[in-house]
Amino acid sequence: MARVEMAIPSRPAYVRLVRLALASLARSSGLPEEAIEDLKTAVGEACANAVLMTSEAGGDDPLRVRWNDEPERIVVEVGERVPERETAVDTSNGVDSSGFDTRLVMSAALLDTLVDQCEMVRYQGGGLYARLTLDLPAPV
Amino acid sequence: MELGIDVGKVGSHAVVDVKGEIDVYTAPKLREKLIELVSEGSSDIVVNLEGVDFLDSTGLGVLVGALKRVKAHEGSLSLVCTQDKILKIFKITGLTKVFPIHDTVEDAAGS
Repeated sequence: MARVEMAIPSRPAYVRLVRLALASLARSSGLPEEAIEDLKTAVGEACANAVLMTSEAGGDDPLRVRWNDEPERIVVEVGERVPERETAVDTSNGVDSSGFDTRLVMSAALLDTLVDQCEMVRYQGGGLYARLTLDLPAPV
Repeated sequence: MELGIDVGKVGSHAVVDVKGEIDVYTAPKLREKLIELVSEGSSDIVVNLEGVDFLDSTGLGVLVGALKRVKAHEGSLSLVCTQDKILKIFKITGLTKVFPIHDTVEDAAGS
């Protein structure tokens, strides 16, 4: 059982770093390659959503990522302690408004499909984090 | 990893060869290139994803946005992709019904 925590600048350039780090951890845990790819994509989605949300809120809190490798599951938490937005979505992140709305729907589909459970949890004091759970097969 | 984008021509189609990872950091670069192509008059575009190692919803959003732009000019946008891990992303999001996806650039440009 291993627990790893990271805090990185909440900017698009750093999302790849999180994907690579968690893929490496997943490989160390003995996950098959396809499951590692799925986890990389799901973590990438959670990070992208968090980074874009922070950018829109004008926050500069670090992106916090927590990896818990438990006997029966892997749990990854990705989030930021930023105040929740009250304004409309700002789409100045490089994707036009129609593309951005579409992106959120596609991101939700990927998160729902690629991990066994994806839930949004509220931090005490403000902010949200995504909790991704990947159930591990029982040892033969 | 930087996103590599090369543009060529096959028949009347502009062919965009993409190499690397398309994510929240690199997707704006692809978006700019596709907008530039359409604004220069290329409305039949093939995006070759064979050199792409990673694709997220930001990249999908860029491709959907580009598809809307070329359709507004009565054009087309086709994809080339044979990698299972990338095709899986299109299948999960239902975009296999939106984009023509081909095995080769020649097939895509001939469609």
